[in-house]
Amino acid sequence: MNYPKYDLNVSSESDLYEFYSEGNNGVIRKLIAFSATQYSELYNLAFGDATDSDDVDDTVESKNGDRDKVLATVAASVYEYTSNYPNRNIFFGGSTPSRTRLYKMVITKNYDEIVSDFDIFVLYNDGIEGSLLKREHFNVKAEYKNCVGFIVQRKLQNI
Amino acid sequence: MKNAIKKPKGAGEKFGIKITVDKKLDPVSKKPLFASKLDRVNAIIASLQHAH
Repeated sequence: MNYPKYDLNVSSESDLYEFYSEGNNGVIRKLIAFSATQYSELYNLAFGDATDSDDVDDTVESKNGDRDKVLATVAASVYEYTSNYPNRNIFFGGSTPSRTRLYKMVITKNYDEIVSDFDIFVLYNDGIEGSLLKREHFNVKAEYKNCVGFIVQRKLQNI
Repeated sequence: MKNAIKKPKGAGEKFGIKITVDKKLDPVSKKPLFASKLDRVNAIIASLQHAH
């Protein structure tokens, strides 16, 4: 992820991050939240534009001309979060299929660097109606047409 | 006895960006942000062939 990144503000418990995207449409406040799921040690990453009421809209397309910098900043937040909570696994998926495909493209492009720090899993099904989801290690050569999201798990070292 | 784990690098150490704790974010972090999305994620994980 050798891209420019925005500096981050973070909540005391490191579960909410804030940064300011600066581009064609001005300055846009962004929030990244890590939330517990009903599964132990699995947390959901979600991000989007902050609204005036401090809520988040993850469907808006900012078109601020800094997509790579924004995505690199979100990736940086995963490094920061898993530095504080190394045993927590992070799920993320796009709010639309095209965004999930974008995330797949970003992972593929930066695979070597990401995989040196994280185990990466992909969740997908084979497109047959009624088929269950599968989870497997991400393979850059696989197509994963019906991909619904990803899970990353920080690689840990003993002291 | 469990082995001690080396703390992984955070974004500041890894990428050199500035990370600032801002207590103004604490009340926002307690809000149910993305609650509908979380329901979707729980449903996705529940439908895995092999339970997480």
